[in-house]
Amino acid sequence: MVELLSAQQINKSFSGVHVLRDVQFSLRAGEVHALLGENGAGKSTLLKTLFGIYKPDSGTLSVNGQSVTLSSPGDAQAQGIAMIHQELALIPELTVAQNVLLGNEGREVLNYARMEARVQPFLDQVGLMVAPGTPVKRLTIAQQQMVEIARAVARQARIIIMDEPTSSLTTHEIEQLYQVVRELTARGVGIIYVSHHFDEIEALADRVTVLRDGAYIGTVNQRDVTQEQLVNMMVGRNLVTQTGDHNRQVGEVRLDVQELSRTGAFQDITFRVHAGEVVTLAGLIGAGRTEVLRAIYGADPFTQGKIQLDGQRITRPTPATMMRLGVGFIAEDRRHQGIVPDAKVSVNMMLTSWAKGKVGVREGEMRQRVEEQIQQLGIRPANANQIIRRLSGGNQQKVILGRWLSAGCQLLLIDEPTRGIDVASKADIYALIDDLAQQGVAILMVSSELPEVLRLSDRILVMREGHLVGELTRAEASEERILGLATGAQTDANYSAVV
Amino acid sequence: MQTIQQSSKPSGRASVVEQLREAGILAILLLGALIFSFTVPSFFSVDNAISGIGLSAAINTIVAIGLTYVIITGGIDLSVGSTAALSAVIGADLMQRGLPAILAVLAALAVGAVAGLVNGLLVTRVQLAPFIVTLGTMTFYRGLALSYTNGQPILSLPDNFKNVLGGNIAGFPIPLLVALLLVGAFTLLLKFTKTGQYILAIGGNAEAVRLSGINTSRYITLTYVISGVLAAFAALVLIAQLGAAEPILGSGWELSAIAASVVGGTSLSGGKGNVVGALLGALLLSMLQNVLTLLGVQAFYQLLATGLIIIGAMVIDRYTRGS
Ligand SMILES: Nc1ncnc2c1ncn2[C@@H]1O[C@H](COP(=O)(O)OP(=O)(O)OP(=O)(O)O)[C@@H](O)[C@H]1O
Ligand SMILES: [Mg+2]
Repeated sequence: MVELLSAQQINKSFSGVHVLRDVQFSLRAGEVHALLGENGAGKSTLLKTLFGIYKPDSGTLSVNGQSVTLSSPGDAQAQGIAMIHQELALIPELTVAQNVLLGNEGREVLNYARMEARVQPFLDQVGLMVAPGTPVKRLTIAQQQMVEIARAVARQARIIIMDEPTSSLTTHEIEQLYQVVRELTARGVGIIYVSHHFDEIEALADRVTVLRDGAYIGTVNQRDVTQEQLVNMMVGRNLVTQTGDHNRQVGEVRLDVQELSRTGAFQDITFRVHAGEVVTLAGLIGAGRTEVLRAIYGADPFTQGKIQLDGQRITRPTPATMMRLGVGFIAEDRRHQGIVPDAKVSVNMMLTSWAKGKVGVREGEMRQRVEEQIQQLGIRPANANQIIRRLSGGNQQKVILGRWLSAGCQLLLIDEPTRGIDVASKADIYALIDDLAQQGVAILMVSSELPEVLRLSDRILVMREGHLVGELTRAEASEERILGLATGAQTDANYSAVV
Repeated sequence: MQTIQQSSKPSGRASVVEQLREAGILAILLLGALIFSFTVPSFFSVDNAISGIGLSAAINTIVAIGLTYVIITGGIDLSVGSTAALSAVIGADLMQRGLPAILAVLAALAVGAVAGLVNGLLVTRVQLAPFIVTLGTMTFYRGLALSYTNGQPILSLPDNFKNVLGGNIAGFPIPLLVALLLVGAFTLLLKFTKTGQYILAIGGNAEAVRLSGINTSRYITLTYVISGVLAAFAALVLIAQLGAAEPILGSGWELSAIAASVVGGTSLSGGKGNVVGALLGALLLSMLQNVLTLLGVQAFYQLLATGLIIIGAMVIDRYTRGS
């Protein structure tokens, strides 16, 4: 069979740290080859060397049997390689059409009408229903993700690299993506696919290559292995799957939200969260979950309604006052609202503790606290002085979690707690959230991952199109019920049917 | 959920609000002109409109076009005034030594291009901050201009040069005409060519553009070269008016050009801007200065007014942009 791409004995170090060690990888025409590994295993780094962003220290690379050297993304594109990056890479002010064709516009003088017409079929193909003339900044993250995919399709690439393409898509859009992937492979395109979700790998992958700590562990046929075997290859041990703590004692009402509304975003949202309770806002993307969470934290305003914290009314919440009242917030968009990219891990982690006056800015004072979190969360590399931008995506997420764990809070608002986190760490983070609840912290989270919602929540509130449409206890909840309420296929008698 | 997504309907490239903003400056400009023409005697005369406002605005506009390009990429060029002086004295000197005016003009423009190229290469290859690079070259180019002429002005430029660049076509001054043509050309370049769109895109997300396989350094450097050439050109327009080139000409140009760009809607954080706005901004600032001069207001009060206009424009911008 034709090898579209083959990489042999790839090595790569960053300032002395060996990130890839003798890694090999190959891709055949028409296959989906998944790349699996824990956070920091080196997946993104390998992909970036295949796309010409990093130059490997040693190793050989061939495309269609011809040995090549890729020294820039331009070179990679010339070889028919396209990449969808883990962190979105679009230009907000430009239109969808311009973003899709960026670098491929054709003649120097642009004809927008022609460009938009050229792009339309690709948007149809990925199921993105926005006009090609819309500026990208007006799209949701999920729509932006589809733009990235349309861009790779438009490039007529023979090799498409997808680094966690589903990390901001919901079920419906993931289905859409599957379909696009299948159409592409049917046409002989080879796809390299990175994901921490085994269901996606089962649905799509022909072969799977596993990396661990930068080393090549092996390549297997997906159909021949079980999930347990893959996990074992990834982490080098068997993972004990724990179920959540089913009989948690809940305490006093900590957060009381009444008839909260913001025109155009959410209406009449009423619910409570108790101490020691994990409540999840479930629903499709665009249902208004993130908006509610942000309004409670004072990150965005609301037009009507009431918020009470421990029985005390908060008339105009702002992040600064909420933080001082013991509320923590982890935003959905890590890159823009979470990290300070060029600062050290320690600084990123201590930001809130400083603001709370819990710790000074001197290295010595911080070190112990930072080290504790690095240990507890298993952050790799375990180096408090690393610039956070250089950490893998999943490890960055852990640092943000560490920020609130070390600052301490009584109510934690988390938007997508495990986006981009590998299976092993996910289990750790679930245990951590259970622990926090056990200690009496109230937790309100938004999650689009149904198994996660079921695993963690004591209660599930389902939102649809800006309204609260149902409530499920842990015992009542199932993936079908949540989806039914979220899509409007089912209703909850206690909530007025809307829209 | 598709219903929510579809509400972000087709919207075209420049949003309605952005176009309104531009129209807003234009409205302020016209309104101001109208009020002044009734209240300030001698404001509304062809003579004043052209020599009092048009010429200073033309020079500022030409410089501001280049700065707008640089600022759109997220950079800044503080060296335009010094680049202008350096090109002017070299061009003037060559003319005095008997080189045909057209060749001297080309040489002066080449000096501007090289000055811009140096800025661009320091920013892209050595990866220094644009502010620092051009702060340094601002001083350096000025030093070059002064030492080239020993601090003396170069007088008595040839008539053919003065007549062409300082002349009129059907009563319309050539500098103003040229400024308008340049505004048109650079607007088209920004809006309808790959080069222009890459420059905008770089300001929006340089890393994403680089990952799209585009040589971002080349386009960033190009904006500094444009800025240098236009500064040189503005200097030639000025010395054609004055009939002499002084090595200290152009000081403070960077600030008025930045002001014109920003008043015209160019964002200092990059990714967004337009050349027509820079023209309107330059006209507004010149008109204000002219009126205050006609009214006999002392120079230091004029500074207060100019400062207020700049901040006022930013405040309006903040509120018209909404979020
Ligand atoms: N530019 C860099 N400088 C220094 N170290 C880096 C750099 N880029 C990556 N690393 C390190 O290389 C290792 C591998 O990172 P990589 O991003 O490839 O992981 P990953 O497998 O994609 O993880 P994730 O699942 O979290 O995305 C990490 O330890 C990371 O800290
Ligand atoms: Mg990664």
